[in-house]
Amino acid sequence: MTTEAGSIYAKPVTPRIVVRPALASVVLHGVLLLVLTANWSDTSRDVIKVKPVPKVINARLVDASEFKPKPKAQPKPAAKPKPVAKPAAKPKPKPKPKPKPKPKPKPKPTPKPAPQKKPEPAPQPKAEPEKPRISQQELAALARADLARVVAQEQAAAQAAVTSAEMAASYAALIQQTVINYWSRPPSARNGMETELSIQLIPTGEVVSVSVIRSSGNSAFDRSAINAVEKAGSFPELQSLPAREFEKTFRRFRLLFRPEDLRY
Amino acid sequence: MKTLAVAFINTAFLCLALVARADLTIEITQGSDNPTAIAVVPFAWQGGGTAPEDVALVIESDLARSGQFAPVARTDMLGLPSTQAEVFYRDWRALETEYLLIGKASPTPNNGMRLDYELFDILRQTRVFSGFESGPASDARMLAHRVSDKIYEHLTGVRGAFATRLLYVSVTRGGAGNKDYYRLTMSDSDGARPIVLLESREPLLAPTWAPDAVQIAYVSFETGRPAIFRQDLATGKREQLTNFKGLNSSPAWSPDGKTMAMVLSKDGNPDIYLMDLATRQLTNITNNFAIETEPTWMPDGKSLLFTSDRGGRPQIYRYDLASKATNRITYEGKYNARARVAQDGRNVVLVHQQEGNFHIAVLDLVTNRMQTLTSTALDESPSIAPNGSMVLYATKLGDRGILAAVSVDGGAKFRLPSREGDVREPAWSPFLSTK
Amino acid sequence: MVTLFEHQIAKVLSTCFPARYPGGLIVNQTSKDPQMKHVSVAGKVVTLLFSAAFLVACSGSSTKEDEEAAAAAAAAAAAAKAAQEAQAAAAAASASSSAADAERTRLIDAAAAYGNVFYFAYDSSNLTPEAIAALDAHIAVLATNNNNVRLEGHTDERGTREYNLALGERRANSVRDYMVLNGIANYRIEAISYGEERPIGYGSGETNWAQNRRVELVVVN
Repeated sequence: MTTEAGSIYAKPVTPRIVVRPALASVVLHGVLLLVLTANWSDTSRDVIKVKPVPKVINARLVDASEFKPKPKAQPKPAAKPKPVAKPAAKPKPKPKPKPKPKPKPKPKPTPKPAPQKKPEPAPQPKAEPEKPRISQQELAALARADLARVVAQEQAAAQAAVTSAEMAASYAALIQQTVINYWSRPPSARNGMETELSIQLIPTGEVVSVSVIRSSGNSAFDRSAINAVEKAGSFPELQSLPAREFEKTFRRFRLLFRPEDLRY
Repeated sequence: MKTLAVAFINTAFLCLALVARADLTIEITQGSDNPTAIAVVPFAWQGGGTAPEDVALVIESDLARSGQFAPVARTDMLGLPSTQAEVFYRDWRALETEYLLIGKASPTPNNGMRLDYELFDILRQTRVFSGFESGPASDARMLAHRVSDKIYEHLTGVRGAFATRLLYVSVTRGGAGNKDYYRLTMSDSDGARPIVLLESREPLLAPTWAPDAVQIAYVSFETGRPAIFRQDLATGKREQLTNFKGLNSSPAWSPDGKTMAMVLSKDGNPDIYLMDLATRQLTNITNNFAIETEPTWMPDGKSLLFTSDRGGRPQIYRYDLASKATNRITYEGKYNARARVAQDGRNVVLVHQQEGNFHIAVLDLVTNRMQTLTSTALDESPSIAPNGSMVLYATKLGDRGILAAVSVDGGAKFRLPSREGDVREPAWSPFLSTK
Repeated sequence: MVTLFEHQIAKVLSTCFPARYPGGLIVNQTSKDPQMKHVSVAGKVVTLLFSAAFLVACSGSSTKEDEEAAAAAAAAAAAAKAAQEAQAAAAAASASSSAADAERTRLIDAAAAYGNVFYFAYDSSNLTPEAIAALDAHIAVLATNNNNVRLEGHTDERGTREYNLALGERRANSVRDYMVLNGIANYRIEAISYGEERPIGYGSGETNWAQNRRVELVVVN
């Protein structure tokens, strides 16, 4: 390069044609990068902490005859929603969890299901190793039926107003409730242990894959988490989700098991 | 160049489609803790005639008693497989079974028996665990308990305590004007196979195990006064350890087996003493005018808990051997006594009085929260299983004394089969070493 | 009339227990009172029993350890003493006995009327007024003789067994302290506790529990 007299700097050189394809390449890669890293979701990527919905509302009248000690108790669920739940005398008094109709969980203080520590009202006349209880399937079915019914109503009534976030939250609550009903923690479980699972569904709601992304370090605890999902098996209510919402949120999602209700 | 650009743009849109997704994580912070459904199929007996013991029933009862498992009823079983080839997962899935245990019992030379077992995960349709136990055929029940231990540990992560023993005192009335009969008895953890170790017309109480489960100690009134005796289980040989005036009671072996804590009132009022078992030297650790009794060791052997009414009514105190400091640890209620500590050093079960009734309660030493575990009114003598899962205690059913158990979280309960007379003062053995 | 046998017993007793039995209670009466010639057969048998018990106790030296060994014969001795006391009282009543004997008999009767069991309130080792009255009567008798006694403390079933052992001992000690305060020598009293192990009433409820919260006074020699 030659310099003119008086300037110490090289004069700009007209770029050669060969630079253009390179620039295009850079720009397109940049666009690609932008597209890949941009946050396209409507909400933040944060965990949708679908908190357990308050359990005092919409209590269901539980017929005491459901809890008579029978070898394989399969009581019929009471279909009539009554305002007061009868306190049934059973060894594990747990108020049956009922999800709130509204998808947005209100910040109410959440009464956790009463741990089975209350003294029994009367000494049991005999040993009852088989606890009189609604089977897991029945319980899950009850929860899902109720919520599904309400969710369907909600959808029909105000479809336009329902944002994607609300829809995701309501179906997520359903999944959450179902998994809770199937999750039996082993005695070695402790509050704060964390197992994260990756779940894959198909549009029918069936679970096609469960895998541990992050282990708690306790194999019995990890196994209990996987078992909860496997026992649930499928979430057929998701069939009523519009395909776009399903693909966006529920084709693949995560479950984080972190108990807070254990003794310690 | 054009195709390159198109390719890039296509890729970009593809990525758009892929990333146009909300990453959902749902938190599960509670559970339902329903018992795990497990099917225990009767073990196939490989010998001639009928099997000497229904080992599957022993295993099934063990798992059910823990409160963690709900066994499938035999009448519901669609098949009775004893090998993997005979297992049809569909059949068990239909019963909502999660796990399946099958096995074989075979006679071995010299009156022995061998149990082979396999555990299947019905949900994942795979075999997850297998093993065997062998020993004398006369000990078939204990072999079955060992299988239960293995299954329990594999599925819960906690060591099983089914292959353990119990000590208790059984009393039958002598009738009007006659003295009662007292029998120190040992049985399996489910109450089966009771063996009388000592019989007396004078009271027996406070049986306790040495940490090696080879010796036991107890209080006997056979000399006219309460005295502490120790006995070798294998030989039956007895030795009187104390003969002081006043009370000689509450023997408690230290975890290292070298020291025995005890209560002596020879110096005027009941105090806790530590006896060095080798030298027989005594050390008073509670020089106090109040009643001090019911000593028990913390699992690390560095401190003891005991009952004292120095504050007016019985409460639990803790004595640290190194610092010789004594601190009160129970503040709820007016009567707390007879503490026993779980192996984790955290849970303490004790007798707690509430509104005039005596219940078994558990105190968490870390959170200082106390939880009542029973609702019966005259409960006493709690004893914790060596894995810390269940508490055995004495209570009254009508007018009869019986033994019952409750899990440390209060969820599971059972009663030991009742015998004639009154049963009391249970003591759960440590883990037994397999011979 | 005094037989040779009874005389020999008296001698043996005097050598064994020189301080406590100068001649012995029975022998004194029968030897000094000429009108006591008709000691009934029952009285002699009772005397024999009582003496035999002491010969057994007297096999070693007359130290406190003997009290332990004699504990086994306590029940028989107590019964024997009671029967013998009644017998002696009956016999004495039929004669113009010395004032001391009459007084002793009166005291024994008074104590017998109260009984030898003292009851306590729940979770308490304090002596009730009734217990004190009864104790006073027994103390009066013990002041006139040289019997040793055993105080057996008991509780009702409520509460833990070992704590109840200690509570029973506290009750027995409570009685002992009162007796010592009122002049009975400490070495004559042994206090032990059975806790809730030896109930009178086996069931639950206050009727049973009230019967079990007690200290029993047993004469051992």
